[in-house]
Amino acid sequence: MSEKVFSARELRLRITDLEYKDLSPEAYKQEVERIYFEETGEALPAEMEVFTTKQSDAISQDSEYKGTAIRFHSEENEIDEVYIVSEGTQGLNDWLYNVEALVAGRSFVQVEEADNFMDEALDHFQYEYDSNKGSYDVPIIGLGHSQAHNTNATAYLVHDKFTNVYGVNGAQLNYYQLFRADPQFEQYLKEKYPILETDRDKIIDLNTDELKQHAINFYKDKAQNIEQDFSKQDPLYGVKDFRGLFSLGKETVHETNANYPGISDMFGKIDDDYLQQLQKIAVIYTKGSEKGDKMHVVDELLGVDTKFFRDFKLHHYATKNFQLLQNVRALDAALPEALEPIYQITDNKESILSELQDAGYISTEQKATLMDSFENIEKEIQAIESLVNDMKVARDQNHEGMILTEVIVDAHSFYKLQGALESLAEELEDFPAEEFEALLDSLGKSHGIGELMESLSNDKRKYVGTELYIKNTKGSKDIWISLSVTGRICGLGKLKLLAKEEKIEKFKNKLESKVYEVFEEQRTRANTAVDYMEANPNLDREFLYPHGFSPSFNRTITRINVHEEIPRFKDTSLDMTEHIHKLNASVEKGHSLIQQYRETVESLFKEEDNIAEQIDFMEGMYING
Amino acid sequence: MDSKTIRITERVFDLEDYSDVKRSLERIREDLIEREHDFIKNFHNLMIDENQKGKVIDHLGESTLEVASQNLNLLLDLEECIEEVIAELTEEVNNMNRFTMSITYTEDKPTP
Repeated sequence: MSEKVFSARELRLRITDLEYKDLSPEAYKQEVERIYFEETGEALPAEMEVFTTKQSDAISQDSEYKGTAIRFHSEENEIDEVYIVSEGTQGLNDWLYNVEALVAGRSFVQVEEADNFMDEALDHFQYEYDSNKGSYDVPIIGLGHSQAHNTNATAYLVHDKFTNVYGVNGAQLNYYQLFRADPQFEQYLKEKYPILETDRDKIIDLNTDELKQHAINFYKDKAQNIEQDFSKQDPLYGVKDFRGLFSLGKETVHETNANYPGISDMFGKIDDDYLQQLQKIAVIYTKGSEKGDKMHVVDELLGVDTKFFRDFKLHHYATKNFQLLQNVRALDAALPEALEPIYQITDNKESILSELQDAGYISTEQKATLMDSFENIEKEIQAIESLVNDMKVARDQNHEGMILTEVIVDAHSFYKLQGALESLAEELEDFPAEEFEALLDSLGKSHGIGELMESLSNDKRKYVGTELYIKNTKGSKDIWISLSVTGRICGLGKLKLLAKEEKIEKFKNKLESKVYEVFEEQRTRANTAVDYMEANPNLDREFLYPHGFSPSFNRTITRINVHEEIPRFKDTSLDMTEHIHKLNASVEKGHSLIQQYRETVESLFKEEDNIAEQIDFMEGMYING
Repeated sequence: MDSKTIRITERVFDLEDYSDVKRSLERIREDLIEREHDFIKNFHNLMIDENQKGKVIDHLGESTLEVASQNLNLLLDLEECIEEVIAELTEEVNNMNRFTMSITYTEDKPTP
């Protein structure tokens, strides 16, 4: 292994997890520094540069591929390396890509995007691609979780630019996907299976054990540069030997949740034919989804375009009867093969769902809901099959053409067929995905990096999710403390108190300019007015008008005597000095609290643990970050 | 000519309204509350779980709660205080702009 900065497993896992936090480049760098210090007790040994897909011109902002490139460089420490951290599966679209790429083995869009992003990032860091060597003159290390491992590892096999690839709970390589993505592997397989020269889709009918072995042999030289960590309870680990998938490189399996056995045993009980049908359904689903709504999925499921049936009206019997005959025959011919994988799934629903229930992944109620849904889909498909058969038989028996009563009976069947097609589409639309979501949630934790990190805990260090806690070294009772939280309390706490102080100052200034000064200005204005009126009484004759004196009378005001006593500021309750004082005191209390925390944490550890220095470092990172 | 004196009360300047000042002070107070919450939230997750707490840690938790409660109460009081100060400012200013005064004048016959 060539890397010098993220050389420890824990570091690589935590940096991989960081990709999900969607941080700004500055915050990202700060987190990398923090994690590195927490894990090693030292500051980063090199300068760090970060380039993300958000800054990329090569990757569209709508793209599902997301990643961060980190460059470390230090002449002094002889460090020069680049990490490409690809983001794994998160949203629904990513899971659709999972179905397409990982199960159906069709899409490799993200693989190409990862490669393009790598080129752009390396160019950004001013490295040049050496076309003679076919690589960059710097180690490039790929980190990826879930689907991102498939992306990085596939990019490595196809483009050969990574030096090492590390995966955690990763989706495995897929030889169907590689057949489409890697021209050299495609050529290799075509030489082994000439039928692929004429029909590439025939690959799905080839012997899977043979294909897997070919893939492993073809890429064996790269295996030493791929390393993976797995949670035994991760569902992706459970399906790592699914049709089309194969693993390459060193694997370390961790028991992360002893409450569940993991689903690998369950999949081990399912025979290959069943998995093949499941894969066909995945391909069908993918093709249908690519075209738009669920009616396209129905078309792909049934193997024909049902638009003709959906648009057919009664009066079309007069004008489109021949086309109807052709379409009925086509549908009837296509149905048996098209429905075989669906029946395989629905026939086995009880055993699959029971396995999931027995393993504790779904409840009895959830199983019942899923059973109902599968049964409804099966019922609609059976109805379609039966109606099409009736219509076909009616036509086969009436070579001379149908008489009116037969047309009416046929039209009735046809009307029901249209209804069944609609119902099937609705059933697919209404499929209780939330029941699967609940199942995915329970499996999701084992798929995440946090649970695996927790399994790496020992009697001195413990991970909660991806946060590190260390055990006190003084006192008889075990107390687990997060130094990074302590650093955050001290560093961020002080920054927050500083911000609070600024706000209090702003409040005070506003109070002075908008209350105290305004009061004084108004007071001065009133006093000036009084003085002026008393000094120039005859200028204010308008005061007399509202009191019944006509302007036609000639009056002279000889004296004005204002009786008002204009209040002074100290006579009012406007002064908020005491409140401001209390607010400032609350800031001081905050500082005392921080100090108290710090001293308490320090008191839990022996002096030689250098806890104070570590807290200082963390605190400084937050304050200076 | 006889002089006469009347006593009148007149508004010398228009009424003043300080509700915009109140709003701006209130906004700063709300910012302060937000910062207070941020500050207290910062103290979470120091330890893995509550069961680990011994006397020392319990004391820290209590201190945090006490400081949080005092500071938030102070900011709640501040709302009332802003209300009172702006009400008083408005009243004082509008009162000082209305004078009660004695006017002494002399009167001639109207010109035919």
